[in-house]
Amino acid sequence: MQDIAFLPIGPEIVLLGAALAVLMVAVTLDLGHRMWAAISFTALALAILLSWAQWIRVDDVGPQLNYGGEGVRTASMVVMDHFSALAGIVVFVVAALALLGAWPLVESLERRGAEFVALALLSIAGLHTMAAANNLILLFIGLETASISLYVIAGIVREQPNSDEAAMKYFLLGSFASAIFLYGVALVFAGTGATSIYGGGVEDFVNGNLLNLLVNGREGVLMAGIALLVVGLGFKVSAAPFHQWAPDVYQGAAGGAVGLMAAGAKVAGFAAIARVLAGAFPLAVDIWAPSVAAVAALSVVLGTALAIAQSDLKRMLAYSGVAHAGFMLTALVGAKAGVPAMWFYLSTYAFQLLGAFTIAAAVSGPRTGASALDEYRGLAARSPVLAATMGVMMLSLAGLPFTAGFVGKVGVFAAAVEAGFLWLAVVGLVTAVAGLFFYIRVIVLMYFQQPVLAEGPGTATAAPEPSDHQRIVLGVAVAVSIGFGLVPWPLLNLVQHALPL
Amino acid sequence: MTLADYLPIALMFVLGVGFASVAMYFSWRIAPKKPTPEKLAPYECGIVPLQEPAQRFPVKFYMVAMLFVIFDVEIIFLFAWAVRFDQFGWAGIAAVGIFVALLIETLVYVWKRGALDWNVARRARYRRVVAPERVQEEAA
Amino acid sequence: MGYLWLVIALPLAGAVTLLLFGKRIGEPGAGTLASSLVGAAFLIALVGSYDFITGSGHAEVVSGFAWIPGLGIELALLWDPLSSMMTLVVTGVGALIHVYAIGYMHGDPRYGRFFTYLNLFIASMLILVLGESFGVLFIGWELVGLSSYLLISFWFEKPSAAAAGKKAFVVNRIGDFGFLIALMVIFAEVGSLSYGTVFEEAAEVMTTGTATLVTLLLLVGAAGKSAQLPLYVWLPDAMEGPTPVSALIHAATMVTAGVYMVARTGALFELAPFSAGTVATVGAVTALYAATIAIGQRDIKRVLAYSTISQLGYMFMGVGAAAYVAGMFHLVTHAFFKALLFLGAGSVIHAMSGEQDMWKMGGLRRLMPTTFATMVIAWLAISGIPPLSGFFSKDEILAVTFDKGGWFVVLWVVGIATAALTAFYMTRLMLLTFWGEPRWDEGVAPHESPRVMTAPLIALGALAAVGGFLNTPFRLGRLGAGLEHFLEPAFEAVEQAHLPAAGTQWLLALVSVAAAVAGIWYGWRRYVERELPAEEGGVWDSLLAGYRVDDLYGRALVLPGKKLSEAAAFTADMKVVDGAVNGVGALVTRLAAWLRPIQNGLARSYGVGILAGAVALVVWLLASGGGS
Repeated sequence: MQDIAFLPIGPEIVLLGAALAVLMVAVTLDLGHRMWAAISFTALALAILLSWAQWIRVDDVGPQLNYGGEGVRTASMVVMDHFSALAGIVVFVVAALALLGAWPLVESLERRGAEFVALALLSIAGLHTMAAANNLILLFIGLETASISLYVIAGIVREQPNSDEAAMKYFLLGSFASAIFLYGVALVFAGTGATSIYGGGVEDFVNGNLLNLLVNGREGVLMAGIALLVVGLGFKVSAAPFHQWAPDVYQGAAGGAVGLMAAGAKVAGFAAIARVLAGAFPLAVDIWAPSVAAVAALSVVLGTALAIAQSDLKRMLAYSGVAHAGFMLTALVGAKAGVPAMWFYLSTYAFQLLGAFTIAAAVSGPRTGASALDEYRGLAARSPVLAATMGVMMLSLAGLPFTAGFVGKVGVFAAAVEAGFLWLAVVGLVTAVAGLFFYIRVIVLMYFQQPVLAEGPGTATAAPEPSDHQRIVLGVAVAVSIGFGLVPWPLLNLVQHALPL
Repeated sequence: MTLADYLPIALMFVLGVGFASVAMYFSWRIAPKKPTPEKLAPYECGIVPLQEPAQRFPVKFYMVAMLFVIFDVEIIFLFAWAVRFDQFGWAGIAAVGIFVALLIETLVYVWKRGALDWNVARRARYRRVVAPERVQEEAA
Repeated sequence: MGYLWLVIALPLAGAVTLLLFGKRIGEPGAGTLASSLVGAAFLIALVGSYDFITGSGHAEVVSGFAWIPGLGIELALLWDPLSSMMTLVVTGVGALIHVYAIGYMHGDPRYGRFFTYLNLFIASMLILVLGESFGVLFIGWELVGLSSYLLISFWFEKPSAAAAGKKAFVVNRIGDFGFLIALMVIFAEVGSLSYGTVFEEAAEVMTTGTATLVTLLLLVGAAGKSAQLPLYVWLPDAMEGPTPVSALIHAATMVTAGVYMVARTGALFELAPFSAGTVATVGAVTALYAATIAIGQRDIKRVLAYSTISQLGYMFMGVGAAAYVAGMFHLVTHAFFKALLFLGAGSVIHAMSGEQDMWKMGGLRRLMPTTFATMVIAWLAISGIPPLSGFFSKDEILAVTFDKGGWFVVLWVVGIATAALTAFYMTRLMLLTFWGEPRWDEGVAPHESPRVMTAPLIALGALAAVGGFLNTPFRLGRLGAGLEHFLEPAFEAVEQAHLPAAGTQWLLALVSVAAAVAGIWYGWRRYVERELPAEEGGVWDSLLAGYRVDDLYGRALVLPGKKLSEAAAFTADMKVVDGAVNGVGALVTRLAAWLRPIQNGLARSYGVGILAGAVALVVWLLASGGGS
């Protein structure tokens, strides 16, 4: 028995404790949602501080592997490096804002709001576990903790049939993808005899057998394993062709909940992909990079083409999310060299996505699923703040100069070119330009068209106003989109260090 | 093993996938497709619920069964620890303590939420106590 | 010139201020503020250009901040004679047009918003011309495109204006594709986007093939922005915007960005003679082609729009023939007289209560003396009558082209033919508008425009009259070759075309003047009669419709998209969102509609998608990395 290092798993402990506390408070003390807010946001703030402390600790003593005996291949479970620390900071900040933006939904859920908050906290803990796991099995547990919580969150508004549909589809397909991922873990174990990544794990095996792998290519089992890991994680980040759940789920789930589902899952999913591909198999990059490039190209093309045809904002964002997943995969074809570009893109994209979904929740209501583009016609006249914020989000998602989206795109394309994938950068560039079309269309709808207000329940109100919670989220999203667009280098410098061990 | 050894597997695979795809393609091709809003709705038949049902679904059996399974599995984990508990020492006791505490907390939560109340009257009392707003709605 | 950033910052500050407080400042404060900021920018630029004028200045790179340091993307500005000349034109002509717009936009409900966009445009255009790298150039390039789009569809209540804005946006996007890819290739080859580095190293790093590829792609971008064949179709429709916009953006400044870019990248075109020849040829063909269409137009602004396309063709011919000074010279004089023509036309339209059809004008000469007098100057200038500005600049381009010999002589012939046509359609415009009997609709009472509108006309009239002496082709001492000396430092590194010997020059000038006089003479004879010729049917209809190229593009790009979608099942039931109806947009939309049935809402088919992807990936990785 060795001493327990609490720092690496500190955020998880805090968040799980908070989730339990929220549930207990909800059924014993009838203190209402203010108490839940106090608990959950204190926990999230603590988690952010702990991640920061991890970063500083790694600065001092270098990366750490924790929980495991010596010389055992399935040994160490958790890794603490700059990569996991940054993942923690990004995940927790994004998740805290997402929860803040979801608060109107929490209030409207009455007692079940506590379950929503607890599930959100559990899923956040799971998301961070995915980034900090040094063992594919722990990674899987994190993935499942996050996923199962998110399945329930997708269906939290039981009165909406579309919400049920979303939850069911997400659950069925998610389980399918999880099974594939688990099969991948099994095959990797069969191929290497290890489930851990560092410290005598998969990475060392690949390192030791590199020549064999490259020259003789005798590792069919391992290759199939890698492929299945990519599939399982590709599902979580909705890369094509594993993306089809995303539009239906985003559209069906309650407006207030989608931000957390979409932004959180993207961040952690990509952290996990980068950890697996660039952390565990960096030396086999020549083998897996072409297929990842193919997935990336398919994602940007399909995502862009389909986003153009959408008449619902959330569906459009889902498809654009497919394209953005493709852009981030574009960076990863460079293995470790591409990770900084991915981080920059990822950490700014998450805020834009969150901002856009928060606006959708403000315009169409926190409980409704659909958010038809027609509801945005003439929004500028009805709600100038929302329209202007949405404009910034769209421009940044489109990647126009002086927005964070532009710097991110430049980074991922440069990474792809550096890795020798010029064609992928060209495909990305062309689709990025084509993508302008549907982002700008939202702006045109908001600013240059007359409002069309449909009749009946669940349609847009005449002049939607964001709640105070949502205002904070939108403020941060705008600050990130423009701030890191104008002055990107603080973040650029930071992500340079956030390589997987 | 060479690639040739995989050939029968590959062949089987191709045949399987091929048969399935051909069958699916033709059923898709032949079937008439006239999507209407009703058909595209998540529930193809029955009445779409407009608000949360006044009565909960009778899911008591499932609830109890699920809780039983959870605690059944707990026993399995505890058994493994119990056989060797002297070797795990205080750290082991702490770990198991946390594990059990987590499950107990869950039990307390579902209990308090009324999941174990089979008696409808008792559940109504719960709702009067902790969810008065809904009772008022029902009365109105 | 450390205060160079002020030149950009002033109009930008104006745009921001007016965006926030435009409504509160109101009329005419918003216009006055916007005009004076652009004027101030002009004065600063003038002070900064002083050293270049005296001949003692040298190019200066004003470092901005390192935006994305890892990739060497630095936002630096370049102050050299070329950029200073462009800055002076943009801010000078821009300031005059701003003043004019104070009167022209009188009473518009979005008065403040108009000047917001106008100031934004000036700032964007200055970013474009002052940038020290292709990156900054591209940023300006996109920003002027955006402000152009906003201004064309400024009266977006009119469906035609909204459609025109959209069309300009889509067509420019095609050009931008080419431009962007060119930038990527340059970056991939040289590893930098800074002008200094690229031009210095291009000769060593790039093969002729690469250089040709890069420059042809740049040409695609330039053709989109400067409305050259085949991407000119957006410019005539862009006349839906308010007239000051047509004058500023779609005549004097933005559309010349392509010419500026070719001149700026002369070092690259030098490496690729084929591309340079292509530029000149595209220019010459466009010049002739657009001039023929201009003959058949009835709308006064559309005549000027096609005329602009045609004159831009001349500039392309000049820079393509490596006569950079001549090309830039024509850019400057064209900015004077074409802005004047547009503003004059705007004054006429203003007087005619919005009427733009020349067949419903006539006899305005006495009622609008100032407008008439200034328009006459512009008419003779663009026709190439000495000693007005257009004669000198056009003649210099033609003379240099002739002197290059070979294929360029053919281009010269095209240029001369265009000159005759130009004189003809301008005479037609003048006579139909100002001479003859009034053919006005009932209730129209033409009147001279207010002083705030005529003052810029007079200023531009003076410039259009004497602007030619900036650079007389006969090089009458230092004074006569002012512009050449001024621009000399900017083109030191590239080899330029030369003027022919004096004797040939006199002869060539005689030919072009003869062509111009012939055009005017024929036009005069044809239109001065009381009975105007009926220009209907046959060729005239075809000319009026611009050879029906819009229909052709519609059929070539939109129809295949439709066919594609009809082939796919389900599409009849899928309602495609409106909006994407133009060319490429429609194609992509149809493609999307074709793909949408895959997303059929059934979880099982999504599962099949995942499985298929998984199988494909496994097989791929096994094939590339597994088994032997």
